Amino acid sequence: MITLFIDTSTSFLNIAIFKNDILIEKKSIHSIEHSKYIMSEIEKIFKKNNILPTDVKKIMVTIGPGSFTGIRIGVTIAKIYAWACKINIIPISTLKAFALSSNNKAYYLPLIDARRGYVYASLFDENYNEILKEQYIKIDDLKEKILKFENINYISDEEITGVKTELINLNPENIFNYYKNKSGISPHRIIPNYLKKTEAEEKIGDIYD
Amino acid sequence: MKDIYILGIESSCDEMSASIIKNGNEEIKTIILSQMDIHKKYGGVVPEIASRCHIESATMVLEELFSDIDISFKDITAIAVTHGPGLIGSLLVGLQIAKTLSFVYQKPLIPVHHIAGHIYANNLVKEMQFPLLCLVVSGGHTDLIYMKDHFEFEKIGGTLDDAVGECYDKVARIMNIPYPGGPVIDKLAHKGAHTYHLPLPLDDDSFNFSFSGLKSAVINLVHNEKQRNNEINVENLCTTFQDNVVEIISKKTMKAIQKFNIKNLAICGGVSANSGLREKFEILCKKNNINLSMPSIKYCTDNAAMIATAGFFAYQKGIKSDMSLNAKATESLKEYIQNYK
Repeated sequence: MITLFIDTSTSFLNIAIFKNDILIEKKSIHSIEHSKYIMSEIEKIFKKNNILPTDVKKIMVTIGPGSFTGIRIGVTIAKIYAWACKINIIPISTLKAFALSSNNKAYYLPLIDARRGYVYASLFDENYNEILKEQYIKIDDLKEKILKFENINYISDEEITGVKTELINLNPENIFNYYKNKSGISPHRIIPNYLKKTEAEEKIGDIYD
Repeated sequence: MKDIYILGIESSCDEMSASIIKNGNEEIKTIILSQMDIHKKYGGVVPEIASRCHIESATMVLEELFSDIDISFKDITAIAVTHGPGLIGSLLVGLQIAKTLSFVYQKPLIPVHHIAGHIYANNLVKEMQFPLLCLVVSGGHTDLIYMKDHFEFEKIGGTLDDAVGECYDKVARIMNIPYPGGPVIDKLAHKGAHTYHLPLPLDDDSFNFSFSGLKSAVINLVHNEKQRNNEINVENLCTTFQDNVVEIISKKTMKAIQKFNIKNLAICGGVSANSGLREKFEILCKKNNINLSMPSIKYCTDNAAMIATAGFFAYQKGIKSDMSLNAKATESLKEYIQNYK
């Protein structure tokens, strides 16, 4: 059984293929054009490992938060792929994916830069339970909110001004092992988790008002 | 000859659309999901909202397309997709849809230039005859394109500033007509009279257009009347404005037809739904014995039927791409042909 893992939420494009419970191949590319590379890379990995597109039986995809455009690339591919193959998707929080990718046992505080002094963040305990709900927050406000916790491990895949972070790449094996027994949900129901409204909505109101 | 079925995907602005076209002229089924009502309250298309809506509807649009038809994916010959020009975030969603389907079903991937798509909407009405002059009028374009044959595009003129549809929307805003203003101006123009004085923009020997001067003239007129405490007759202003737009577009188009000695004219793009423009060209072409073609109203605005139709001819011409195809916010027809042929 083939599982395809894709992540396009940050400036790293991550792809991994698992056969049954074993990692066959993984690839991480730093790019500002995920759209250009993702399908070519998947095609290359499949060819090299003699996997047919229709062999995929499960898709794991990070659904955000992160780059709006980036998330949509991975999530659209996952949705269409799953729809075409009539299989399910396991949606994964990008922040939790970062927590799962760290090897330091501690409180995990994954951060994704949201620019202008803001981050997307949440806090997980060492068993990956979410203690602080994932949110779009000013880095200074975040620091205040977590004062009562000790031994916090800030995690990110890029430098973030104002905090000292453990710089890591997503670890698809850790993520896969955590989620492998989930059955997933229908592709129709998968939507990105932006954690932030568009500027137009913030000014004028939600689209569904 | 084996029938060729092209699946088209279009998401370059605020419409998510999918369509299946047989042999480049027969529509099997088309789904168009417009977000018009969503963007209305923001006074225009908000790119990030458009992209967010596209991804939410992506699988549903495909599911709907393939329900209740006798065609399944194994019958599809190739997948055509708008890769540009357009809103980058919107384009990227449609592009991933097409690339993923192309990969999973192992079907050729055909990049289609959005304007080529608009032009080929005409082939769904009647077979395109060459040489052909195409007048592209939309919110993003006002172009005159000469075509010697299928997929041979030569731009002979275009707008130097605002596109005609853009000018309609901006002028509508000045008159407090809600978005999208174009169709409303068209309707009001039929009720009024040509009483105001507005300039005929860029009335020269070139095949280029300029609409920002006309827009400024409307702004100044409304402003001056307000200062004099005169009420604007919106219907009459719409009539005057539309008369001038239609006059300059038809004048330059007919001049190009004469110069290049062309017998076939195809009009396309969102503004080709404008009844003032359609009426004017019907009269002019009849008088001058020109074979005129205009898309049906529903295919004047963005849709995937036109992309699948253009995709059929692109496929015949060997235009294709591998999985590295990316979205292009801007790309000329010339660059398009150079890049993918």
